[in-house]
Amino acid sequence: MNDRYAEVATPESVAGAAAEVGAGADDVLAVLIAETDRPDLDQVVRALRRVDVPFFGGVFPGVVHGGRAHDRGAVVVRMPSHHAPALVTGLDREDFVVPHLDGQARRDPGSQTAIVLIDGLAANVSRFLSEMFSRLGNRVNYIGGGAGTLDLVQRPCVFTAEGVYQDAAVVAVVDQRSTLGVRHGWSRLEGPIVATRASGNRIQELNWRNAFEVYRDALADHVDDEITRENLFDITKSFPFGIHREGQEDVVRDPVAVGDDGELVCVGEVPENAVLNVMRGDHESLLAAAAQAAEESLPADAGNLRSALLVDCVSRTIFLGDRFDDELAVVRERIARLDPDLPLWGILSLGEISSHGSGYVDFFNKTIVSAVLHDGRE
Amino acid sequence: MTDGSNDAGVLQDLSVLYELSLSVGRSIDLDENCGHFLRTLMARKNLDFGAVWLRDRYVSGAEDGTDLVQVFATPDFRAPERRIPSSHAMVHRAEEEPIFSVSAGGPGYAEIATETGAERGTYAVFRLGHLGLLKLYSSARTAPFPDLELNKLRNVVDKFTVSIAGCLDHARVRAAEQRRRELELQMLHAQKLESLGLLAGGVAHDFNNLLTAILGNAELARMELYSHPAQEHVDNIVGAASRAAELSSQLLAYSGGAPLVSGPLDLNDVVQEMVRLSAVTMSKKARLTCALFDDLPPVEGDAGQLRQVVMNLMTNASESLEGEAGDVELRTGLLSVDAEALAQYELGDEREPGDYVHLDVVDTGCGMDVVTRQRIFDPFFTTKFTGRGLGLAALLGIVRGHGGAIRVRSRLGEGTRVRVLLPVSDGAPRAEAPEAAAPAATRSEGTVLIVDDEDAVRLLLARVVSRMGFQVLTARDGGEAVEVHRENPGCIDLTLLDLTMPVMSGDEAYEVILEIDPSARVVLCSGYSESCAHERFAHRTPDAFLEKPFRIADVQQTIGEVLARRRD
Ligand SMILES: Nc1ncnc2c1ncn2[C@@H]1O[C@H](COP(=O)(O)OP(=O)(O)OP(=O)(O)O)[C@@H](O)[C@H]1O
Ligand SMILES: [Mg+2]
Repeated sequence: MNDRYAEVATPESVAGAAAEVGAGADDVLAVLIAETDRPDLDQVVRALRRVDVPFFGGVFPGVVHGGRAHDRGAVVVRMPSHHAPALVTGLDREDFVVPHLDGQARRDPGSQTAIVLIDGLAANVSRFLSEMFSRLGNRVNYIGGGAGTLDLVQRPCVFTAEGVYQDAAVVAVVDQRSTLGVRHGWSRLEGPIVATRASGNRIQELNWRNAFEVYRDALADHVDDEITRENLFDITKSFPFGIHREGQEDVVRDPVAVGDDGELVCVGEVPENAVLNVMRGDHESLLAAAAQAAEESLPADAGNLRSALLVDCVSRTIFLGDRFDDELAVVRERIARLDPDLPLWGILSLGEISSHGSGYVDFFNKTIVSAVLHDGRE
Repeated sequence: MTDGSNDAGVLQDLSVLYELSLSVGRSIDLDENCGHFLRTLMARKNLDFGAVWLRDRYVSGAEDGTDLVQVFATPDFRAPERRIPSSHAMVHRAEEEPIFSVSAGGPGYAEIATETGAERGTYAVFRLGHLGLLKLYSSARTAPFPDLELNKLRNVVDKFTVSIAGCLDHARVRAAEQRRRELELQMLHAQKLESLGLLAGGVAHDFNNLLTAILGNAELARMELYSHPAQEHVDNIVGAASRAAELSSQLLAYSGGAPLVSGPLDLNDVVQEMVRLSAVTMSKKARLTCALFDDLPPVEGDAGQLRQVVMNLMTNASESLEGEAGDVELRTGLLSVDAEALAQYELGDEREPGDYVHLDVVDTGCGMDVVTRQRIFDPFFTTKFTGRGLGLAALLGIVRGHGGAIRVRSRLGEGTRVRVLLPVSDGAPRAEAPEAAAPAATRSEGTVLIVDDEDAVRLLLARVVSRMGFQVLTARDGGEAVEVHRENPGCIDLTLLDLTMPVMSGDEAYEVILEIDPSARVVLCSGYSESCAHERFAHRTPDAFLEKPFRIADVQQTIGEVLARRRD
């Protein structure tokens, strides 16, 4: 038994699940907690420490286990790994330090997968990923997502045995290959719009004017209601930004809040002078994208299959509403084509991390990342 | 990028070029500038690797630096090769073709793929004017970048080239400023040391006079208090004052103001003498070995001070073992050093190439890091709990006074090798006079004139000398001394003459006294002289020299010896 789901997340139930799954010296446990039960994370970490296995984890708007989404409970999954998970803190500052992960990667490219859980509301997520990429490069594949809660209030949300942290990331390099599919199904509606002043995950100016006003004006023709600061989040779930990326779908950036002076706060960075488009999607395009992502994650030539890991943006669940079940259903259906008994687990995240197969690792929004973990053929 | 054949395509291209062009020159720092541009380029164009290579002459400033040096790469781990010669195939090709692209399997791909894990994929290389190259890599592409696509990037890369030139200029200006600041600091440091030296010398001189009085009086008291309960306290005073005297002699040596009695002597003798005393100074766990060169020519020097040199080095070596077992080796030899070798020595720039006698002290102790190594000659610099930081400062003063030089080689954890060079003397070595038994107890007759401006010292000497049975006359300066001689021609058997005094100094008085009484016997006392006390005496040197602070036994012995010689 490599995975477990505890229906209610308490320090005892999480530790109990971890003990049942168990782990050897060369294993690591991923511990994914859904936000509803709000267990005291310090207590969870203390309880897990007593089980005495290496672990890493976070709190997310939802978790996926057995191919179903849950807004409560906790998922524990065991994976082989030769190294303790690395913790990086201080992502709110410019001078955070990414440790030398060098020793963690084997020479044989693609034989490992880095699972990255990060505080989804940290200001320097992309910078962190680019630093990590410059250490590990494409010797490993990357998959992961942003931790946090749907109220978008930043709190300590990722953890290892060292403790629970905010503005932090944990990286576990596991000894399994992965095949990745990354899709979102959004397409360009209005643009181009230039982020003429931006820093970290905040856009102050678009087209040399107040960011909120420009965004509101760009949407005026497409929404009936007047856009205010208060209803912004309802609107943006349907109209995110996209940043061009050659040969791939645009990278989606979700504006989730507006500051007093009209700055837009996004999940993930928007580089200054990046050229953006306002994007639009509908239920069908999103579901088609989910199917495509899952299909692309099916390895053509795999050895032992281990599990399927799904990182799905929580804003897609909001956008899709009742039809979110359909999204999981299409993913389940595609994965089942490979192996009907393959465990399907994952998170509903605040931002998604993936390396597009062997390419540059990036932080996405409103995206679905599907990964099949396997041993490959020697 | 698009094929640019429709409005949307042009707009898309413009958008990317707009962002790229604004990502150039965002910092005057080379690394940051390259980082901004390459990260943007890689993100937008979905590339896996980017690097900037520059001609060494722009990086290190070496005139003939035609090699290419990688100054920036992302991700960094992919680039094991960081320097390629200008004869490299990639450099050649870029000279002929300012922009080109090759895919795996294409001609010349193998030469260009110097990064790890680039067996598949495609490179694009842009020449950065005469500065160097920009290298881009995509693992996903299987065909070369189309010419149109490369051409679209041309202008922005040109702009990047200019921005790099700006960064390099800035770095040069910064480096020059840094050098200037370092020189200034060095100057300041040198000035500080010089004034410290003057201060140390000045204080030590006065200090010596006071110590002479303290020691002398304490010793007199001890004689009076023979088997009195207070004698123990007086012994403590003598002990403490002796240690203080040792300290002030280190200070004096550092300032170069220690009295120097110079003559040809055999360095091996000095070393052997210190080895005999090593039980006191060295740790029990130190294994001491000697390799002394048999035919060592004599050196010009002061035996007392050279003892101090050997002693300080042995002590440091022993202390570097930090109580553990280890080896300390003493070596002497003859060495011919040229200007290049001298340049590695402290004081080497003040010395001429030629033959030198050397003393090596090698230990297997803790060694030093670079920072420590740079400061060891600074007075009061110490890393030891009870250290005073004067050992090597004094040693440097002594070596300077002897026209020598010193070199210290050390690495943390790897022991230390110290080499002292001393100039070869042309005279034959003087055999060290065997320590004569003090004729202290014998009562003597005759008249002794005591000349010292310091009341306490004069009084002390008067007591000591009268205890010996002499008649005592005193004078407060050179002028008075001359007067006394004039008034008592031929009646003064011995004059104890201080060197530094107001009105008329000891050396001036000495000349006049000799005019009055050519057979006058004079013992010169001083705790301080600019360089060599002997140099101050043009015709005849005094009969003996008493170094302050002195012990009563020293005074008695010196007087005894000089007067005994006279009777012969
Ligand atoms: N042989 C050695 N091995 C390692 N460190 C040394 C050695 N000789 C000198 N040092 C370093 O240089 C410093 C200065 O040495 P120096 O002899 O001037 O002063 P000290 O030994 O600390 O004090 P003291 O005045 O008692 O000699 C030492 O504190 C030590 O750090
Ligand atoms: Mg010392």
